[in-house]
Amino acid sequence: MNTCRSCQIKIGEGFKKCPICGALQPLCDRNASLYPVARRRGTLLFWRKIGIGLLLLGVLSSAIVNICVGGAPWAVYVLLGAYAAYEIFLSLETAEISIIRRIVSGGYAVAFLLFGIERFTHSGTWAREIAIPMVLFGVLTASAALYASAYRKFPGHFLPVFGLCFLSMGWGIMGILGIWTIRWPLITLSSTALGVFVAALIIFHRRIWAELRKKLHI
Amino acid sequence: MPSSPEKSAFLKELLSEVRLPKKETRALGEDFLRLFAFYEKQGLADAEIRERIGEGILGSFYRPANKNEWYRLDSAAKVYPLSMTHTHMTVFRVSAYLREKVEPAVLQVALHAVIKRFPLFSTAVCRGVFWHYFDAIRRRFPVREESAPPCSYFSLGRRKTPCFQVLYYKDRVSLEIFHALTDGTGAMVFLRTLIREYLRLLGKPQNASSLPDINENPREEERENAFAKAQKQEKGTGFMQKMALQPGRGHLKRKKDRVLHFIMPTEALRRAAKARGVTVTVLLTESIFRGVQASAEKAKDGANMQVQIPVNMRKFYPSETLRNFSLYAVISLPKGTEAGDGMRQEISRQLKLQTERVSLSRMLFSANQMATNPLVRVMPLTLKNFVLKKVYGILGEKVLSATLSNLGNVEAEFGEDVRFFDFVLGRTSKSNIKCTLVSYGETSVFTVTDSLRKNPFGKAVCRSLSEMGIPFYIEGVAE
Repeated sequence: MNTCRSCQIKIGEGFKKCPICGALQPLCDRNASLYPVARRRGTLLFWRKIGIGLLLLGVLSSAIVNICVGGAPWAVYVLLGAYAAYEIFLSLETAEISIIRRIVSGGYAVAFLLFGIERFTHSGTWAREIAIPMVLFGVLTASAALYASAYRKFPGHFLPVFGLCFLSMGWGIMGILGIWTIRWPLITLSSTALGVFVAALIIFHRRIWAELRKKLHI
Repeated sequence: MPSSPEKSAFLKELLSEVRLPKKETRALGEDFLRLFAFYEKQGLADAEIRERIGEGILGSFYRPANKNEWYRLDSAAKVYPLSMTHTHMTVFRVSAYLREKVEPAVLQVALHAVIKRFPLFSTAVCRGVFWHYFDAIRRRFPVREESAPPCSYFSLGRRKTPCFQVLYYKDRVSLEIFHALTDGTGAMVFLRTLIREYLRLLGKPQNASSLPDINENPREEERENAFAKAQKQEKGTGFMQKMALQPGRGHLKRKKDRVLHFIMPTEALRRAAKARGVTVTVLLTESIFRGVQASAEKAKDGANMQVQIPVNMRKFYPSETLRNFSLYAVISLPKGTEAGDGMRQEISRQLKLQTERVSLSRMLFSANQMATNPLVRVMPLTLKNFVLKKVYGILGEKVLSATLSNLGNVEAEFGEDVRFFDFVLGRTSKSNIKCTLVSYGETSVFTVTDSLRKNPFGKAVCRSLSEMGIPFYIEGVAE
């Protein structure tokens, strides 16, 4: 134990400076420190922060430039693109990190981007009728395949897949009822969704029921 | 490879009930091999090793978890996963300082033996549709050498990541734990049970009968949500407090938290409190108010100083739960209140009033009502995450200047083998100062966690303790 020469308080030998008055301790013995010298941790979060900063900077500068030159829609495209990039590459859950959730959220973000482009360029209905169903089809097959291959490891990750299935089937039903224009990509998407949903229920019904009880607290 | 056929057979016996993936089973085996090597160095014969470890040390715990085993969060815990960010979480640590350097091989096997008695700790946080929950996991829980400051963030995102970690450094064994899992009392039971098993494996069996027997089955009462014991009250208490004076204002913040332990004789602390006719908690709360006052000199707002004091509800509602079961009292004094008898009397008065059974029952009822509110219950987790994070920031943190959590006296059941315990509350992103007290035998440790660059709070606490005639020395995170 050392005594600080400046404030006369008794302190542990590991302190380089007095923790109370800040005076340097010539008799400091780092090996006697109560705690280890902390190693640097978590560079991933550092790069994530840099990535988010760059995205925000990009969105802000494009908004300024585009508004100045009279091309406001482009600022919206950049914003939606940045959102898609965030969802795919930078989003991070605090609990139960799931690659399936990331893929599905990324798919939704890309769908938003396509919808925005279609809306602001007044270029018909190519995104709603062709591109978005195609993107969601890709996302659905990829996420369903991932779940099927790793359901033992990640039994609880079926929710995003089911969410996408319900959305796609609902969209398909709207087409059948004549509320929405139905074309082959939507037919493919909604029938695949129905297939995935039914297959999942047949193959994994016990596991899904157990997980559903946990997720819904029943 | 074990050095003798007897050991090899014993290892096989030990692992015979293990049904984990190969990698995990191999790692478990290696843990035992390290322990065998340690015992060999100590000169123990094969028969002695077998007797020391015991055949059923792992029980039938290390098998794939039952897919129906999961736990709801208790009423107090619900907010903790919601308020968690990628850099901050509500984590605390309890540590035991032993007489001798920690033997990692022994500690590791002690943890393997103890965890089976605490299935609640063998869980990972998962996202539900409406609330988070704990999902049972079965794996090898490693002990690690400390390499980060106390109560640092540890990610819970990956699959099968437990909500606690057992760390060792020199002669200290620490348990860092996510507050959603348990409170100080529950964590202390786990740590003491671990220390008892560690000492037993070292050949120093302890007669700590107040702790759970690790060979008996876990009891249902230990996992109950004790908040459900709340009886219907005519009126509840609101949780809304006025904004508190923030000690950090006007001071530069450090990048890393400062953790200082004021180590003092329990008897001197008790004598000082008795001489002033107050309890130890009141005495230290006065020191904290002095510290808050000193560190908020430059603050211009007229907000009151508010110190939160958690109250262990097990004293009022007998419960064996190892989960959260604490409420709190908030002592509020205007800035500029003079330290001394007047301040102590006012703290005593407020504390007494708020820790009466009637007020605590009302608060318990309100806490339970809030968690079971149908509107809150049906709100999807994503929305809760957004809304409750903001609410927690206001209700939970900005209304407080500091916190004092007194774990009280730890039963001196380990005699000379344990020197003392300490207890550290991690700072969350917004709160400024966290203080704790824990006593073991003749030593009490008052811990302060803060992030102010200059240390006005620490200076004021030192001055206050010196004026009370309490001898102390300071240990902590070295600069």
